[in-house]
Amino acid sequence: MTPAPTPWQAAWQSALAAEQQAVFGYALLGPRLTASADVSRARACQDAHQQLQEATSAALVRAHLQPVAPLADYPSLYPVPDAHAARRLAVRLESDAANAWRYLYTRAAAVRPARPDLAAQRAAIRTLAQQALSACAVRAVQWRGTPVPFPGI
Amino acid sequence: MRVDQAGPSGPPVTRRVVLVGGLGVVAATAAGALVGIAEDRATGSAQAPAELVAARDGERALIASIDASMAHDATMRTHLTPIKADHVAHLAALEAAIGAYPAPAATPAAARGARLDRAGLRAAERAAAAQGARRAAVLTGRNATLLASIAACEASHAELLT
Repeated sequence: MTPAPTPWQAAWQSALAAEQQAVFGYALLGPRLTASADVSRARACQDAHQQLQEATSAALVRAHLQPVAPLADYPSLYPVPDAHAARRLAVRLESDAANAWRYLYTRAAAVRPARPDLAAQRAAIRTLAQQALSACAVRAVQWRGTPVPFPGI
Repeated sequence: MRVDQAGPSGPPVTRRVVLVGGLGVVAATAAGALVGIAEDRATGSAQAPAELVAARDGERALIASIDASMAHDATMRTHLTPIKADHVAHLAALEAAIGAYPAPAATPAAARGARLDRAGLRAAERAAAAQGARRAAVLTGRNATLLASIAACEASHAELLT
């Protein structure tokens, strides 16, 4: 029997799941956008999440963990009737992803492991989570136009 | 947070941390703050980590710069008002985090901010984001998360000022 995942491993999988949702969500909202600037922004955001999803999956595999599979559908993201709803969904996707990366950061930062190899792994995860959290905050502000003081919290 | 340490692959922890952490769970209302302190006390400090104090001083300096930059300039004031509000919230959160430690931290003299243009402010936000991430990386617990989130916010400010 495989051991139950530790909280930070579960948080890592949740971050991957949030990236999978973002990739799906941008594909869903893209066709609803009308302004060409929004369309190209959505494409850039989708590419960024796709890359992060692939990198996160690969990192989980390297850590001998089985990456969670993407869902077949994400009913909570519907409906997206128009461009306004599409932009709102984009903000939500970034906000959900920011929350997931912030949570992973918190879990990886909860303790400083005594074993050097574990400490190095946590440090690497924190660096990745910080980069992802900041990138989500940047993309969210592109869609929203206004900042939030504590992204992911 | 404690559950992590009890995991099968969890690292060894000192008895003291476990005890203080357990106490935090009992005193549920204060658990969050107590656990944050417990982690730093494990390293023998009753004083707020230097990174936290430096982050607070950095926020003060940035607010002073924003104040100087928005004075006498209506356009800048419009752009900078939401950004300044974030920094004020950061400062309050950092003061609260520092105030949770028994030993008082030195309060610096009021910062006099240099007036910056848009590009200068963008560079200042970008530098603050990078430095905040570096400071967050050496902390643990809530302090680390707080600085990580503030760094992300500052990265978004730099984007707004692009």
